[in-house]
Amino acid sequence: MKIPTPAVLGTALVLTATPALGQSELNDLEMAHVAVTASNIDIAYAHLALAFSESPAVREFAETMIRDHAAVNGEVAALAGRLGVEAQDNAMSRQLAADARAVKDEMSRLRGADFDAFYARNELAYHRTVNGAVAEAFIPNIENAEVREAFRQALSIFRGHERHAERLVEQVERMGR
Amino acid sequence: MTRRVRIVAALALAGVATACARESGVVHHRLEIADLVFRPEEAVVAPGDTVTWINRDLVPHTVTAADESGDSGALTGAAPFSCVAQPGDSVRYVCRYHPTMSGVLVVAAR
Ligand SMILES: [Cu+2]
Repeated sequence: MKIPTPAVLGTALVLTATPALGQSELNDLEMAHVAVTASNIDIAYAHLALAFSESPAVREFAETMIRDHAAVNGEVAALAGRLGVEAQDNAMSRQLAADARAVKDEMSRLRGADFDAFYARNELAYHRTVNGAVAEAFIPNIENAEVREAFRQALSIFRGHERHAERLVEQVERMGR
Repeated sequence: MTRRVRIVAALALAGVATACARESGVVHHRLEIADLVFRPEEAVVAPGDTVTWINRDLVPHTVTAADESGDSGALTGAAPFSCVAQPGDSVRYVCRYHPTMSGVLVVAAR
């Protein structure tokens, strides 16, 4: 089986190389926008999985991503409402969205075991990258305590997704053999 | 009664208020779900005790018997899930949404 990976690795590298990640020049509202954007991207990947995958493990993972990322985004919106603020678009959000378009294009061309392998590996790489950024670049630099707590809770969920994705990669690799 | 009212393996569900009033010596166990972990992951309860799972996470979870004999349905922070423990063996349970989560309920006479 041919297992396509270049775009997956590319996404991780682009993300890690995004200057703002290391420099944490984003304010709280921009970080919130990045978090919502990252969640929406994962929801979009999940919808591709529901459209193209026939693997129950992949489909269940995708349904959990949609359910959980929608819940996290709902929480961000509720918090913004309570604080009377709005998340702010920024260069990192736009970079994430552009990277995701390329990944979705590549993913959309795959079917069957190729799709499942690509989706699972991309989910693992994506959650690892985003979780690393949230833990190391975002949370230490968030000024508002309530926003920081929301990020901490979201990170604990996304770390669970990372463990789930590790398991999914093992499952699709076993099936592809 | 809601759709949560189903059987979770050796746990027969009953109205919690009824169960609490029914017997003296009943212990009410409050288990939490936080950061995608059942806490504690293993709990020992006696027959007749009530067991309540409270979800502290932003996302829904389920309490589902590993042998699929019972299921709480989606648990959110707003709605805990309660059961009355029935005599029987240990029950291993998982979350259907997050397969990395699992817990054990040991039902043993005090
Ligand atoms: Cu769960």
